[in-house]
Amino acid sequence: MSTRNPENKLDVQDKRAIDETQGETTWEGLMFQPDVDIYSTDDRMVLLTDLPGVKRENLDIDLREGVLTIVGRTEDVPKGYQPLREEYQVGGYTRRFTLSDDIDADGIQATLKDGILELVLPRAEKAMPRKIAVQAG
Amino acid sequence: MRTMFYRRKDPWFDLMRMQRELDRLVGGAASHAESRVYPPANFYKGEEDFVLQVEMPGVDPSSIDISTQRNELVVAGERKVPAVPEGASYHRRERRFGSFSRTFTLPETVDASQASARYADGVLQLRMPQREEARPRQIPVSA
Repeated sequence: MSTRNPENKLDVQDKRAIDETQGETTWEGLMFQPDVDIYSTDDRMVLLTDLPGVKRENLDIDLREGVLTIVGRTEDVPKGYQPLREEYQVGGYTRRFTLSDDIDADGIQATLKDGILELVLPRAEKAMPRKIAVQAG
Repeated sequence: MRTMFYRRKDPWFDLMRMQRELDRLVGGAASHAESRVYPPANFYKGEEDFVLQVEMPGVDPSSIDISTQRNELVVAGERKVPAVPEGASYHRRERRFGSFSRTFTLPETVDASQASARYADGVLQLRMPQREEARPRQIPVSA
């Protein structure tokens, strides 16, 4: 199988494998650190991450003591098939984030669609910025 | 940079690697060639068909364009920049977006015209049968 490329705007980013010698691991097999985008607005933080090949039932999102852990598993090479060419490595994904105190943990919402996980982390009521009206003196 | 990965415990991977090394030495098949063209793909051979898996998360399935001509297969699509509310500020930006188009030239034994495609969980899977004439057959000997 050979390949040609007419003016692609995207290029391939290498997956970042997680070094199992760094700390304890609770999983088996190859794991990668997925790419993320994080943005915030006045009332929430939104985290978007690429998890290609992860089905909803194989995704774990865990929040404890202010640490959010995402673990997604993928399926292996199709059974009875031999690889003739492999350009990307097949493995799971994991990444950990420390949340700031102002996140309302009960209000977190997660959506997985087309291999993208979107996590909406609302800010707690008290943490929202508010305008203080100045009384005329 | 390494895009290949061989699982040590699986003897198949070692065999495949030997095959690739041999191919490379004789300058033959490009089966082990590494590609930097997006989207990255894995190609598998089964008993009767072939499977091409293309990793392309975040593409609207209705916008994926697949076409074939003889043994060339073109996959095109776009990773659209997500709509972000006004006034939002980014803390991290690691993901990339844009449109892409990639042409795969498949082995002669693959019947690309019979491909069936499915996009699930950000992975496009194309299943293609082996060409009829490439299948093994028994030839009976008449007395």
